[in-house]
Amino acid sequence: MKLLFYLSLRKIKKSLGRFISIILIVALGVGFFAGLRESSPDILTTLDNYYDKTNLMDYKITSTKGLTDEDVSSLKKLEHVSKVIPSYSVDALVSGEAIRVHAYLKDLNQVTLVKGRLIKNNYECLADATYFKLGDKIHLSKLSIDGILEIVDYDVVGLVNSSSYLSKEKGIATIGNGKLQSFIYIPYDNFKSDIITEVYLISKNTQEENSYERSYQESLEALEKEILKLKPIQETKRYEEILETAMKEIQKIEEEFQVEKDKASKDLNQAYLTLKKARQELDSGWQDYNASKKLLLENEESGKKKLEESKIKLEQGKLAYQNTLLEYKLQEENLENLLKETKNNINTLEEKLNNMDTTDPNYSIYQENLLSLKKLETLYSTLIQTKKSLEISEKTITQEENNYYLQITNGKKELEKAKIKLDNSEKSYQIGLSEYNQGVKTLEEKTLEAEEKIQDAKDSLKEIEKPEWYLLDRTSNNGYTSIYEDAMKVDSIAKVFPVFFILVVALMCFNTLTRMVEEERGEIGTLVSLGYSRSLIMGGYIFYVFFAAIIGITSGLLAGYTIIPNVVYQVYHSNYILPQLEVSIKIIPFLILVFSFLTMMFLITILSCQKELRNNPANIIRPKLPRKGKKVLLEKVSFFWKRLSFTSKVTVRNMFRYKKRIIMTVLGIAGSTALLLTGFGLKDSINKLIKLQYEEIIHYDALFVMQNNYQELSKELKEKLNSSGVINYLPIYQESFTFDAKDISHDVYLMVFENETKHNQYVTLNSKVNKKFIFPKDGVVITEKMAKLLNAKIGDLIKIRNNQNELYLVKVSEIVENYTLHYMYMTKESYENMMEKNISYNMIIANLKDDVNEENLATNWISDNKVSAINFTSDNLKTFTIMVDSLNKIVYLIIFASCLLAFIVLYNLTTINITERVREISTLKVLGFYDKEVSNYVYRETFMLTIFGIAFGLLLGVFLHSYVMNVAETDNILFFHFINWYSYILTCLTIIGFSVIVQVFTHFKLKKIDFIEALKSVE
Amino acid sequence: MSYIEFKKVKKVYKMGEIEIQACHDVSFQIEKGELVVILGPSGAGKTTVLNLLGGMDTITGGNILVDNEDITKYQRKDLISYRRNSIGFVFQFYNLVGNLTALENVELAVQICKNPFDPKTILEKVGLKDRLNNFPAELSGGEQQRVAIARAIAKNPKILLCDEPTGALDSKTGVKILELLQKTARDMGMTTIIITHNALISEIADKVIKIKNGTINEVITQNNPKRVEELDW
Repeated sequence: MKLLFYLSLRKIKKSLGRFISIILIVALGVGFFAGLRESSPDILTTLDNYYDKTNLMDYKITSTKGLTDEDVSSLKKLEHVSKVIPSYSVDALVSGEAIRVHAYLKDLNQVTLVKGRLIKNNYECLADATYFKLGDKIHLSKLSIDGILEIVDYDVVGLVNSSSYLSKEKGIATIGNGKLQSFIYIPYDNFKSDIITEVYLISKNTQEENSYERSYQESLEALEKEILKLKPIQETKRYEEILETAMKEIQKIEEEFQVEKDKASKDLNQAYLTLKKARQELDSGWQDYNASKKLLLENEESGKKKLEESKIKLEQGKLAYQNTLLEYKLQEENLENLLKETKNNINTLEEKLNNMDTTDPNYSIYQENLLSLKKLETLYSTLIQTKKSLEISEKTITQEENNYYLQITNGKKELEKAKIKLDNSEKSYQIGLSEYNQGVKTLEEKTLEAEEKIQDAKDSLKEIEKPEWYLLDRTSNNGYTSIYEDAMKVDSIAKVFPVFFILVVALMCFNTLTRMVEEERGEIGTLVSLGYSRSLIMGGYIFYVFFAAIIGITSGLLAGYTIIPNVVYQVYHSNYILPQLEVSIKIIPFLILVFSFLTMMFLITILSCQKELRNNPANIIRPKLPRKGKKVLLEKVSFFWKRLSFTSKVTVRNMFRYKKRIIMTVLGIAGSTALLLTGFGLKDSINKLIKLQYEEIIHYDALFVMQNNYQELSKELKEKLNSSGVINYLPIYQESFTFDAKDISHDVYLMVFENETKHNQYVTLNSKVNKKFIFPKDGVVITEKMAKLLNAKIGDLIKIRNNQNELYLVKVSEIVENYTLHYMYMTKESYENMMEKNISYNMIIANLKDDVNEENLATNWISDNKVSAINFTSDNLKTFTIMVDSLNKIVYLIIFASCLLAFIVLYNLTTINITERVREISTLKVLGFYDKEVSNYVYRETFMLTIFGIAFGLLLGVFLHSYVMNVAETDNILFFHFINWYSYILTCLTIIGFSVIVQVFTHFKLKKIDFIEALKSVE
Repeated sequence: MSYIEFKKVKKVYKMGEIEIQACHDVSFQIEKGELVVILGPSGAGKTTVLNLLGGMDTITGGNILVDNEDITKYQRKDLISYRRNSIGFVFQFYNLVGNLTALENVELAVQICKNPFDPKTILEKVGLKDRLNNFPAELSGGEQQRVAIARAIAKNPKILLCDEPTGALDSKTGVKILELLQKTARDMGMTTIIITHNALISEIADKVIKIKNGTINEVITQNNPKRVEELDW
């Protein structure tokens, strides 16, 4: 016994290489097996602990109209609730990017401080560690709710991670370009709002549950029921409250308006009176003016008449004077002479008369003469007199005329002045009047307007929607679900790959041990002949194998448990912000694994020893007969055989000599090749899937989620669409339904196109049943995976439920190609028939011009409050690509492991090949084969087998790939089974590459063979 | 100048810290075409001498001249070429490649040589005309050794080295093999060196080199060597 034990120990020492290679193979296989299997449980446990530690909410309630203290207190009264915490959040812009500002809570949704410290005053905040730096100054602008925050400038004093934000994609914002970039936490008291934006709840029952297990959902149900019961009550209460407030508001407006109206009327009245007075004054002014004007005219007339009369009189005087003058003039000459004479005569006459007696005859004549003379003289003087008076009267008249004209002109001037004055007054009066009229009109308009407004307000009162509560669970956290799905993907891969690893490992161990037993045949024979029992001898081997296996299994398990989950987790770090991974090694599963692997190794050992030990001792002790050389079947095809070179012939014959080795080698290489091809193929299929789904099936560029529903798009909206760089667009109606398949509820989106004949410009529907897709007039078009889940065929009736849990029975009329999520398509008419209501569209799908900047477009539309979000297909593509990227990295891990396996397989097989044939190789050396020739001689065979293995492996890989795809498929993804041609080439090249590397190793190994020693001994 | 000359050849094996002197101060000459027997008990260093001469091992001290070439100065590759073109080996355990027929085993050696003989002719010469296409497992020990000899001769080597060629054979077969070796050495004028611990065999040699404890004990030149059939078994 003791000796056998020592013998085994010595064997280990002697063939340390083999011992180590067993350890390595076992460790590698077991490590990968256990590591991959443990990855997703570890990750999910870590996350669950993270949620527990940070007290992540179970539910979050938001409402379309906000929540009140009353809501909170009624929630607190629920039986199954352990914590109800009202809180606030608001979206704001920080240098143009949308971030969410949360109230910092101490005992729920706690954050993990990465750097810095907690907040101490109202001007400090904690910020997203991935986005901000310590000491950053944050200025919040364009808060989505005005007046909610007074302080808008904050210093970043602490950087945090939050379990509410697992994904690096933070989700949707209500402002900016609609993409939430980051988040900060500010002091709770900074929120100055009566309306609570959200209430967080923690259930009494979920603390002990693992978040990602069914039991978690189940233990939440009690609380969910309670909340759903409370929901309508609180909604109605809130609705009434809002209604009341609104009515009060309207009343207040009405009253205010009345007061304003009264005041305005009063003012107008005053103005009216003033105007009236002004009119009166103006009118009397006009009267005076007209009277004056009339008087002036009369004066002018009478003056003129007088003047005329005077002139006539003067004229008459003048005429008389003229006549007199004429008469005078007629006599003048005589007169003058007469006068002279007269004068002389007078004098003379007087003298004479004086001297003459009166009786003198002459006297009387003289007397008479004197008289006429005197008369003449009088006449003359009268004439002169008249002339003089005439001249005076003419002068007077002229004077009078001048006076008259002056008077008239002055009068007119005054009159003119008066008129101007009056005109001005009239003008200002008119202005006053029109102002007044305007005032009246304005008042009327304003009244009308106000009345309309009040009416509108009253009308809108009717339109006030009933507030709706939204009950959001943890899945509303961005990343909460997707990381679970990612982990599950690893899990589904872990279901298949590691098994293959174990198979290959078992094969290799079997190979190695068989060789070892064969080598030690002589020793076994000796022991048997000495009388050791077979089981005792086998015990020695089992001890040897267990020694190696325990080291291999333990180190493999430990390394696998610690390294692989970490590697997988590390991969997720590119998409998520995660806590440190908690690697847990659970003792019982660990021991079970150790035990099962040991059992496997035990069986392998027995299987390997069996053949030799079954022989009778005499046979065992004799050297094994050299294996007979044999002609291969190929040699019968002489025309082919003849063409082969000597070395090729040797190769062919050697290859067929050791059939077991052929099988082992081919299987080993085929296994590695298949694994590799599957790895590459997974990558291809996933990439192909994205391409098909987001480039070939869904090829609209943007999905506008509208704020309102439309029967028909308004002109304004159409114009806005056209001016936003939209090439074409189509209103659609989308509603989410659920369907049950095998007790699991799945979401499905119903899409109804405004015009289903145009769907091809946005979504390509390829029938999976018929050659050509024709949009069916009735029934519903469902997608492939949904049909698969429901096991539905065309013509079947399927059950779907809407949000209100109302059941509908619809007929499947067509099944179309689709790879991610589930969709249903219907015509307008069949939708209206099914729902018994008119359709109104809630979304628009559109194709954009190439130069459209999507961010700007989104910013523009969101700021207009026209849409609540714009979903860009390019973003979906990006998100999906990122998600798939992480899966790709897992695939790389598998590829890497497969490569390692391929290498070990090749190395091990070649090594066995060499040890088995060391004598033959030595002979070649003695014969003078150069090192290279020896390597070629040996390696040609392995290489040929590698080629066979690759060919077989590629075939196997196609099936394995298909199988893995089926296993890895989740419920809302349909994998497209596809392997790119270059993946085949890459797989071949990788294996051949390893083959070459192994060849190099082998070459040096061959070089070192001590051929003298090898040739000395009997085989 | 002799065809083969050993000058104070020394070989030390290092086994860990222990040095084992396999041979020392070995000097002798062999002429071209001579049939030489190296005689000595087990562990005397005969095989070491043969291996050194066959270019299978490197020397620790001294010189070995073969056809005026100092093979102790050869690099690894030169040694392989030397083995390839100048040396034919026959071992105690034949060392045939089991997966090749008799003819193919000869061909295996021939295909890499410069001036080989035709494998078939040689096999006929060694008396295996009817066994050309048999695999080693189908041949008797003597037949196998004949194939081995044919394989060594077919290379047309300068020197034929035989390490206990009859060691694994019964005496009757052994005689036949010795006859074959003596005949080829005479007919083809091939310098042949046979290692044996059997003193009887030494009688057929032109020269007998006796080795004891790693050094030359005695070199006897026999002017009239016996023919094999004259040996008294």
